[in-house]
Amino acid sequence: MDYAFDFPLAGGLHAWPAAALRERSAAHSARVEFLNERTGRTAPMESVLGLLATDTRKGDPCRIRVEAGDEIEAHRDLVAFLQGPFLDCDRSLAPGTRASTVVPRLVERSGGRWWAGAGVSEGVGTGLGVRFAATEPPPPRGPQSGLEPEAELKALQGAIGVLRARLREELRLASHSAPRSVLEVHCALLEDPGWRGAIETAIHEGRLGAAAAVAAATQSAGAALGRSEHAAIRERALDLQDVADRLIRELCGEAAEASRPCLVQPSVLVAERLAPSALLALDPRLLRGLVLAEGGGTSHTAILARSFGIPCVTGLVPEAVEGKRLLVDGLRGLVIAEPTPEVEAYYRLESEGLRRWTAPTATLPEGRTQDGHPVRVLANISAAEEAARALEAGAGGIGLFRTEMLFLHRPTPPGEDEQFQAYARALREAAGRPVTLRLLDVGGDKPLAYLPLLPEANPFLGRRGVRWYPDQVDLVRIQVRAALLAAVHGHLRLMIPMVAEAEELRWVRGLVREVRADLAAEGVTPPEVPLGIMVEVPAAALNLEALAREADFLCVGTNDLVQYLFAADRGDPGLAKASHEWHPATLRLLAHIAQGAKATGKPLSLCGEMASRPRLLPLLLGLGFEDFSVAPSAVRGLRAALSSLDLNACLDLTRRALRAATAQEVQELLEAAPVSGAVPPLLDPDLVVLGVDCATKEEAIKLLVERLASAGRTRDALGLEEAIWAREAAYATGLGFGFAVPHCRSSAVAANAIAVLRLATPVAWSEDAEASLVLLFISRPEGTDEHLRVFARLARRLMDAGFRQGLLEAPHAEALLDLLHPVLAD
Amino acid sequence: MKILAITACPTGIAHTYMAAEQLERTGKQLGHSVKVETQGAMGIENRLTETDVQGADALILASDVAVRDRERFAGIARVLEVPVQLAIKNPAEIFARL
Repeated sequence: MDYAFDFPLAGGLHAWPAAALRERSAAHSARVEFLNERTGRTAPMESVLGLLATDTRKGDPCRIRVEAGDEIEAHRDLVAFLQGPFLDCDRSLAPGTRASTVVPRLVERSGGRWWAGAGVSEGVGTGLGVRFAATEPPPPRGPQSGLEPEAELKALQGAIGVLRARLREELRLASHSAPRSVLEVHCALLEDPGWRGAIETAIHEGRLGAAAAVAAATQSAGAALGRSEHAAIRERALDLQDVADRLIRELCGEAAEASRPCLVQPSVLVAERLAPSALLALDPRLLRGLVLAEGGGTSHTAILARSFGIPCVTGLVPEAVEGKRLLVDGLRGLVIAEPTPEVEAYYRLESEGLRRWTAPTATLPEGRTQDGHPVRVLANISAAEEAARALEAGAGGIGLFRTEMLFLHRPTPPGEDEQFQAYARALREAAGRPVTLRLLDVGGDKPLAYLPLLPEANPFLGRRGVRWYPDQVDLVRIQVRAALLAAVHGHLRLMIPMVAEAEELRWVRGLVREVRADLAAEGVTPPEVPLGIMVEVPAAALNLEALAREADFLCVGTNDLVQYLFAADRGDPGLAKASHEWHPATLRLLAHIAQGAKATGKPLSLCGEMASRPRLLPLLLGLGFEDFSVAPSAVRGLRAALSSLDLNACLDLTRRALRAATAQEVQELLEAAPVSGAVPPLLDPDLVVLGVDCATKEEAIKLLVERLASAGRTRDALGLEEAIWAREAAYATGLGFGFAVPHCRSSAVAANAIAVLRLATPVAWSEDAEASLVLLFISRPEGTDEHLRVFARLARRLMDAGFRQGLLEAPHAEALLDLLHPVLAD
Repeated sequence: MKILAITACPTGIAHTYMAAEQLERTGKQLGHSVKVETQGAMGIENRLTETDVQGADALILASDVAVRDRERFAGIARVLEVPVQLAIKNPAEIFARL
């Protein structure tokens, strides 16, 4: 049974929809095949990589073929799926982030080849495509009768010793924090007793050679990891494979270099997958972009790419790109082959804008709202080495140091000294600014090899955080000792995860007291260290005042709080909705927490993804939060967003949002309400660009949008650009006479403005009109009549030839504005 | 001639007013009496009244969207519908067509 359809998703058939299709068809016994009639490729529905390789784009004529088994039922179900939920795959699988598939018009129009995947590391990079297929290590041989197990074991020991030495040397040379943590994981994996035991068993009992035994043991361990419900764990299988491949190569006497691409010029590496060690071996100066079929945002390869600032797109396999010039757009998740000069010019504007946005700006005032209300912006880190970058980005301290990274993926827990080094380092980097160290938050979804936990039906409701401390006193005691010893190096605070009841806080406080007494007996007196709690269990939130009386400070973890409040697993895109974050229920709970903190006078902060969404910031400020901790990369954006907000307007907006009945109503309030303070003037010399060259209309619009973004007139440059183009699609806004007046009303506009671009050479605006003077009007949707009147007056005035001549000839920006001002003042 | 006109465009921010301006200017140059109602983002402005309609010779609808309250003009025999762009780029042609 067939079903024919035109492929509906703008981003093409990338990893998310492919996974959704596979999952839906896996529920049936029928054999299901996907056919793309444009590319002529077919794939069995159970293979995500096969589906990706069909290279399906929006609009492609496609067909599914359902045969055997429950074919009638399967056909009916899959057709309903394709016509319904499938259409949301792009959106629902990326909660809270903007659709990664906005394809710039210029790229669509250029007629060249491009592919859409998932952007996992932002930025724009261009280089020659280097197709890299990791040579598989020699294929494992089956059982062999004449094998000497003892000789094979000896060879294994020797190879492990060599690889261990290599890894340590690489670790010694690594200067960057992310590579260090990855290499540490690899060192730990190499020593993993379970894996090593399985290898030895395979040699003894399976009569396998050492290399084949490594392959076999890795396959079963990798399969076990691969069954995890959590992407972050599944992706660790890649790390294990990486270590195993290196070990096998050592055993076979094959140089590791054979498995690594070598770059000789600025390059974009295209691979099915790239082992973290292979990425580390590349020259970061020549690696301009990464395109990978496998690996999500939490894979080590993606983390490394982000730490090196290398744009990375995953979930696609572009073909025949070797030696072609490739542009990687890590923000939208696009790979463009042989970009035209126009496309490159367009992206140049974007990367310049991005650089401006992320460049160190020591002059930015410490977090303040527009009306001068101080707000603290701190950073979340997972490794001590990240502290420097976070502080450089303008963080006022470390609001959340997740210590789990030190404990995960290793056979034994880190000792007191190793932990002390890490904590002391973060404190020294912070140079007196506060560092909030969260005590170990593992268990449930984050298993530790050395911490055998009972299998739990529902890990997120299981023994997480503080709940298992009483069972593992020694582990916690060592962490507290290391932390107290490090406390002399700066301003340390300790925070307890997953607290639901006061008894849990009292238990930890008792332990801290004991450790302090032990240290005193050893002649050490650490400074006083405040002890606070994470507020992420609804029970703690609702009993906040009682807890706040005993805690020294409070920190709301919105990610878990929201998932527990809605009883919706945040890892499940079908359940967790981004809108839960601004749902009135969440807002009321946060308001309750803020009031409780205020009543007891205890410091309150908020860490979690909510804080890094500029559009929700007005609500958080309005609820009374003044202290935020976000990813280092979000610090600058948050501070910039703060500086355009007016606290009274935020309070007013929040009062109304708290009375809303649905998330939709809150969203409408957010979109409608101007929360900026004093409205900046429509005209601004910074928004006038004279005498530049743009090759295309797209570039001209992009240039103005970037100007508007850097002047703070929009916090959503991509959204603004889309809105302008949506208006342009109705019909081009060229007037003739060499003038064009693109415009839009959009919630992406933060403050109304008129931006002016005068081109040295006219650019084609529509089929029959060129433009050399572009006046871009942007207005918020609720646009006050006053602004609309101004636009209307200016539009009428442009019909006057003398006025137009004046604009074309004005010698500089001020002269041009002098002509426009009287129109506005009429 | 006594000519009435309505201008309207999808966003009602710019073209509505440019077209109105062009029709007013050109009509005046050609010696007509012209009144233009704009239907833009600020709603209906310079509304054409019953008095305006009485004795009007022609109605120009320069619009890319549906014109509101069109029934007001049932009594006018000559109605010319044009894209709003034409009113901006070549208003003289519109008057020539009347």
